[in-house]
Amino acid sequence: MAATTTPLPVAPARRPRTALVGAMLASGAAFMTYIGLLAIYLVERSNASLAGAEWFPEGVVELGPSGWIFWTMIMSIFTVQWAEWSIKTGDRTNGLWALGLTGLFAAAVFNQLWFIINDTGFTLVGSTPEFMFFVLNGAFIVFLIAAVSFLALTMLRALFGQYGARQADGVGAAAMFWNTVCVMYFITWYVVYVTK
Amino acid sequence: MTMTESPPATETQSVAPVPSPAVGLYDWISTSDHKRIGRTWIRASLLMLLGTAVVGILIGFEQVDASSVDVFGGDNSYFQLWGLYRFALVLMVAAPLLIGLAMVVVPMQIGATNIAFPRAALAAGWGYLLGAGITVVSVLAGGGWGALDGVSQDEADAIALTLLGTGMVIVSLLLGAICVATTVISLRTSGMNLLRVPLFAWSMLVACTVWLLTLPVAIANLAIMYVDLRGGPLTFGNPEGSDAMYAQVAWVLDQPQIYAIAIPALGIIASIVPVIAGTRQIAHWVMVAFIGVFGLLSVGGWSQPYFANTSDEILYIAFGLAIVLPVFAVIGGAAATLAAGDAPVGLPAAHLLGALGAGVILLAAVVSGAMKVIEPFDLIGTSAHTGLMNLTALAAITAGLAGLWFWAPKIGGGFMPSGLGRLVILDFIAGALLLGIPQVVAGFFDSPDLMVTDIDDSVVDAMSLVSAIGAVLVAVGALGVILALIASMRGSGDAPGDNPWNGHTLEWATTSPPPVGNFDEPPAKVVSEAPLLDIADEEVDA
Amino acid sequence: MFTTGFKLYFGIAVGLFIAAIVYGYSTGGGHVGPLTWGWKGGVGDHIGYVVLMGLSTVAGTLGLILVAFRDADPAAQAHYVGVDQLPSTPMVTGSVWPVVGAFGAGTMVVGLALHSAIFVVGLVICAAVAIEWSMDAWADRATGDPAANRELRNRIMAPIEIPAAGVATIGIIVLAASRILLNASKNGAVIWSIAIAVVILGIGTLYATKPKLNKNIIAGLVLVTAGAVLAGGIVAAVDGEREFHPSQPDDSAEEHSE
Repeated sequence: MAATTTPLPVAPARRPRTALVGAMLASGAAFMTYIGLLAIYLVERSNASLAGAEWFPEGVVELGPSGWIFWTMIMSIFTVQWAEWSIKTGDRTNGLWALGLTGLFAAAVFNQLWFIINDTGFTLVGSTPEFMFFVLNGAFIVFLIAAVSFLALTMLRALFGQYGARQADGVGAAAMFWNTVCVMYFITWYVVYVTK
Repeated sequence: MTMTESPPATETQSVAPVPSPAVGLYDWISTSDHKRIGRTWIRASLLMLLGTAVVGILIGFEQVDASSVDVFGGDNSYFQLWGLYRFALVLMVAAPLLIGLAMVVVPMQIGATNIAFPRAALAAGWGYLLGAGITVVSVLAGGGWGALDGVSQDEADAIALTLLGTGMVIVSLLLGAICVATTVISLRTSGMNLLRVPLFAWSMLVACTVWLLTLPVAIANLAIMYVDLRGGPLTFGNPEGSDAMYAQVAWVLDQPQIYAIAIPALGIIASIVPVIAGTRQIAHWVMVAFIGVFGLLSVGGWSQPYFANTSDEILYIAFGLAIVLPVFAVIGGAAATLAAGDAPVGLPAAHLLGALGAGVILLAAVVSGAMKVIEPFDLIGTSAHTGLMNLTALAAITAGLAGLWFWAPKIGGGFMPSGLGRLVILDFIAGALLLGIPQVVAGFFDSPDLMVTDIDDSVVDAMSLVSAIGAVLVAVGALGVILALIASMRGSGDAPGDNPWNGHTLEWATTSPPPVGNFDEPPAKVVSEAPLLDIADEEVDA
Repeated sequence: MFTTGFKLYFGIAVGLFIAAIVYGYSTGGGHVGPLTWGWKGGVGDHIGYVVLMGLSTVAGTLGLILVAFRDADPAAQAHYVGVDQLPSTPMVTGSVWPVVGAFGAGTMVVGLALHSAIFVVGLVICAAVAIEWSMDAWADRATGDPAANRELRNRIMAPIEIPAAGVATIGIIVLAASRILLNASKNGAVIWSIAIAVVILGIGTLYATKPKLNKNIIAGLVLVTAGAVLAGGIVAAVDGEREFHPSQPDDSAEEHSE
């Protein structure tokens, strides 16, 4: 005897822009927090310059490793957009691969930053420049952790089938926040490591 | 010309009002209904208002005679409570009151069934409550935004907790702001473009945008101070011997940023007046534009006097002077609508009193601000700063109270007591003006912002006394609001009916109290900013 | 073409961009510095200039996103998903996790000021909330039948939640009891042990006789406990740690060593 099942009703449609608008506003707020820190960093550096003092000792903050982070973040922008596109087009396998790859890039960035911080030998209590170095990089790490957590939760929901061709707004929201964090790093890279 | 608050007889029902269904504790803490969530915000902010007003009285009497009267038992305690009063009034009373009101009203105004991210809105409400609690307890335990004398390790811990508690309040406000702004942007009903949203909803969109852009800068200030206090070289987070820590975040309480708290006040005024006048708002799009301009001119964060003195910068002066224009424009627009309509003659309604009063207080605030940026007056660093902050925050709170009375049928299902309402709101308006204006006047006589020693000036003494009386009136008003709220929660009075004021916007198209989901049927397609007037016009035409 | 939302955000962006340039030049910016983000010449006061330019950039970006979304107007959203009439947003089910999350955040805040262990507890609570919240959100949208959604959610989460709640409860009891016993006198510790055991036995008996306890009672107990933990943390933060007395030499141990 064949078992009979009653199909459950399909969940009602959602507004496709709600999550994206929320993420847009949250990303803007997060970015402005970063800008607040950056402004204080620049004011302190400018004050040091006006006083004729050295900001970082020569050769301590190197461009090389930070450049690798830069390129890793660039690559992560492609993978996170790949994830969004894959989920949107109903290709969940590719979407999960892309999300996983983005997570891997995040781990690489953590590793590189850890190396940089150890390499400089800076301490939080050392001096105002050292402190500000930690503040700006630390803020980036905090936002990176938030973005990775957002992606992980998105991945969890994608695994359970919430996101697909019918609904991909959550993945788009996570991607938007990720891209914002990438921009934060690009600014950090330019301000802290390039112009020193 | 005066107007009546009595709803038209045809709209009221003689049956006893139906009280809100009994809600258990579990429902209360797990709700996803925007009206319950908003009520949590509103009640918490009103309790905070009462506490803050009491602290305001203590500060007022300390300042009457700073040398001989020692309410707080020392300059440092005085400084800590002085700081608490300021941050509490703006971040823990005015902002959450307006967010709570918006959480209840805005989804209905735009024809939505619920707020966007209701769970986040609930988390934000509780986060605000806990953050405010942590901040208050930490200040009472010797914390605060720095200290005027030396601090022990335990007091340093309490100061760290104050910084974090303030940060938690701001983050919660921002989360609430995201929910409200997202609702306005993405959950509007069919036909309602952004130019057709009611002016309160529009003003909340502008306000939430400005808060979301600027308050994160304050989080940056707090974060840097906290990390420095906990393990840095104490460049920013040295808590001892000065008000430097307070000064780093004081820009939140100073112009132009302080005006951002009053953006929704313009929307509330512009929402109430046309309903009382019984006509459409004249030049609706002009009001939309000027509320936006007010938002633009209230953007702060760039003016941080701790890092750079901006008081003589052209931009600071321009912002301070220009902001008078949108306030005059919006209040002028509301007044023109009132004059053009056929507002019934009689005793003014509590909500109309509140709306007009908020307009007057806000005008006083922006005019004070304009005087403050004019260099020859030399008001920078004086008590005019406190006066400006008090006037602006109390304008926002008065508008919030007007909204509470106006939208009471949709918030709690019944009317707020009208007689008590008139008294309370009049008292509140008088208190706000008496509290703030004398502080601005005293500024002309070099009364300092933080008065730890007495000023030998009879005008300053007199102004301090008047200001203290104003603080008492504000506290009495706060108590009156709580009593009125309790009375309305007990369900006394007539049932309001669905549209007791003949309102024009969609929140009046549903029942009082509104059901879960707000509307039994989706609202008809919206074709203007006053959809209920459109329906009435169609019926007349038919 | 230009939507109202775009005009609002772009208006703010343009206004603040002009403000940044004016501010940059009026505070000592030189050459074309304020026009080029400091590429050629100074920008004047960094705080004001950087914040204004940041604000302008963010507002402009938000404006561009909004115009791309056509202000997320109902008609535009309906067009995007290919339906004539966009449905109202469905109600989501109630959940206690947002409140638990707020308490978790509060615990983290207290922990940052008091002790890293408390911070970790808050972090664990927040992580658990993030997962639970996600699962609730997923279950809400699984099907169009709320009862089926709830069942689906419970089927997945209950096998994780029940053991986790058991472990957490035991952990809290053990930790709290150990703190009490460490502070009590020798005889007091015996009395406390008996009292704690009786309370646990009593609660167990109550639960056994009434397995479907009122949700409101449970919610009240959890709220009071969470509030007490937070308040205790703050008090401990302010009072500091108690003084620890050096341990008494153990005579018997000395005898053995001899």
